[in-house]
Amino acid sequence: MSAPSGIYSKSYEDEIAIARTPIERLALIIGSILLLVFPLITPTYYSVVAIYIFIAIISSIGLNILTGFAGQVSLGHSALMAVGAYAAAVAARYAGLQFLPAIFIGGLAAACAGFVFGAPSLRIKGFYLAISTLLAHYIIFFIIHLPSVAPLLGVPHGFILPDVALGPFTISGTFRNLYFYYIALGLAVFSIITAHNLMRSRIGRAFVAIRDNENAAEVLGINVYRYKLLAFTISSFYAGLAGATYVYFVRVIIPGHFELRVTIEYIAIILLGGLGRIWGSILGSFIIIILSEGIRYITVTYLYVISPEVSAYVEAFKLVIYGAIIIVIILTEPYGVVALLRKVKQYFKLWPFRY
Amino acid sequence: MKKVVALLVVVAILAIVAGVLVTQPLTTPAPRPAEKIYVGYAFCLTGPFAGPAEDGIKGIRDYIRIVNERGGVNGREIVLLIEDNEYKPETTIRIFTRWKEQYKLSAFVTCGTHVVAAIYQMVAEARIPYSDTSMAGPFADARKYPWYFPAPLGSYTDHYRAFLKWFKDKWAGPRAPRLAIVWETKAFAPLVKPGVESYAKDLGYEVMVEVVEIGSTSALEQMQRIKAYNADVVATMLPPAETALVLRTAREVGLKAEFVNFLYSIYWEPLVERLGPLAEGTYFGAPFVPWGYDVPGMKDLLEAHRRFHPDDRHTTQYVSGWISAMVLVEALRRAGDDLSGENVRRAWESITNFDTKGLTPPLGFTPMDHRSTTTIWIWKIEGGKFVRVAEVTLPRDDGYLGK
Repeated sequence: MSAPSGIYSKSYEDEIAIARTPIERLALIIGSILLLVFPLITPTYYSVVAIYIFIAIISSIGLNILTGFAGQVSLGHSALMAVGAYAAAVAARYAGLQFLPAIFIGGLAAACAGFVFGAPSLRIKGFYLAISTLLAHYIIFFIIHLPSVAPLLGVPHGFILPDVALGPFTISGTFRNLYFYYIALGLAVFSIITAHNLMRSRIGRAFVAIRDNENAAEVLGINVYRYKLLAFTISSFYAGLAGATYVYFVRVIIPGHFELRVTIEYIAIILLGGLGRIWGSILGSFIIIILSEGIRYITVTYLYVISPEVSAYVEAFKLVIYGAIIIVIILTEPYGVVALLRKVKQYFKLWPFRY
Repeated sequence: MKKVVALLVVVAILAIVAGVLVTQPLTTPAPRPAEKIYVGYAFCLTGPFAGPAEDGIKGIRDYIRIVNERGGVNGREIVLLIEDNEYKPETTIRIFTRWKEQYKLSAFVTCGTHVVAAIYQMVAEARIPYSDTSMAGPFADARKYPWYFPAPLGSYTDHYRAFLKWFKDKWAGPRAPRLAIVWETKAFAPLVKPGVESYAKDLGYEVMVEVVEIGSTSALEQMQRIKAYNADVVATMLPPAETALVLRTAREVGLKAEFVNFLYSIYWEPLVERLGPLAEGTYFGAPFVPWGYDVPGMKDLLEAHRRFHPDDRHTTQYVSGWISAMVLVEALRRAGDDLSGENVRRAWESITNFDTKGLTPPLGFTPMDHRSTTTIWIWKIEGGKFVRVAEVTLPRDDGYLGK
């Protein structure tokens, strides 16, 4: 981690600190307060959108670990989310597990599936790996829809999950979304911190080495195959955790939650935010969801008042506008919004001088 | 670092305590004028069913516009909230959450069977009557889904059951008629096929089942097996593209059987035009008339067309949208001044023998059964037109509610 001039580490604790400068500490405190107070001072709708963002952060961190850090392509991400979601639902319904153990089981089940479907990465890479993970998507959905399995999973009527229970407390009723906001926030923070630390560890550096040059990594003594499988497994754990959290939020699980388009959306998130950066997943999730909701909100709230006809046209072209904005951002900064922000920061560090 | 963590914990506790104290006054939505009735339509204006939905929403809009011009419902104006749910459950959830907070919704309407499965629980907890374009039989069982009212056009299962009954009644062959069910396993068909298969067996059909998944590019093997089986009827439970694939392949292999297709895959004029000769002679069940059909109720639709958008082309979907709006308005009218979800639901369930002037058979609901009708009209496509060939009334209490 690069630190500003004059900031140096005197102990190992200093070295691993998340916030190292007074400004970083201040930003951390203000950011934390804002996140904690946000659902209390805004309508529930905003909390719901924030919950979607937190869940997207968890899932996209998983995909970023695999694709951004370890350099492995996957088109089976949403199917692994489905594995986590169904495993958690089954654990909750049939074994009576509470929320936290159930979502942990979901994460583990997805990790196991990721381990199996990551195996082709031992032999193939690039487009071929993408296709093999795509097949994983279809295999998982085939299993979910098997006539002998589907009734157990409530396919297609929907599988209703119990209320979120944390020890003796059950979260339901009017403030359900408020409490779920804090749960999702906690899980997102947990995911960010664990991923951040993982990437600073031997494992994370091995992932990056494999991504940058597989042969060189092998020469350096990294067991490439082992670490590739590990990347698939860890990534899938995050996917499973996100899938399980999501279905607990919506209360009903159907396969339609995890269609292939969901994987495409997550790929867009990490490309837009920045590959190989935890912040890329955070910013990408935020931008993609806010963009989608923002266009809708402006269209139906403001444009409709001016002209229902214009509003209808904009509504129809919403996806085109959404796509165009993403293309413009990626063309402006191919390394994602994180890189763009870094350039902005550099500019103001030197301002008013160019060099 | 420890100091920072300690500080964060203190700030978090203070923020939560302060927040809980101020939650109520800050999150209570601003009161809305009481004289308006808000109905939310999260409709699939983009996605695979965007074409039919666009015309359907026109029918809804026009009917509500006319009701408002005539003084509204019990003196109150109906405000239609329309947004595109993109045929996605997650988008529908976000729309519903926002509307629920901003407006006192008297009813909520969506588009897509999978959306119903995903969102029903949430809408039911909010105690808001909920409807959808879907007519999947299992959701019509009000004992399990008391807040849900399928589109008031029967149920998918009953559409097929009516045809099978009619066909069996006129069957004069020396052996039991043979039925081949062609279905997909991932979308709506799993909610239809079990009921149809069981009913066919009850009626004495011999049944075989074939799968053509969504996105398939060939149905050759399936059609050859059906031909070898010597099926008399083929019931397709597939989306439009796969229905076209099956009809074309059946023709190529020389399969001689009557086809009964899924309502939304055939009962739409642009689809029939695209299918051309493939659609000729095929059947479907639907308890409502197509656009322009000569019944007294069509006069109002033609008038709306002339007044609001004379250059547009309308279809069966416009008619179905109009009918669903008629039923909704009737429920609101019966609810009177008490527009609480509970009362609107009770009012909806009190509708019996509702006369649509020939657009449909008489419609009605009960607190147990939310199928609008079990009288189904059998239609045949002849010369590119929809021709009504029979009317079949199924008993409501024959054990097929919820199937």
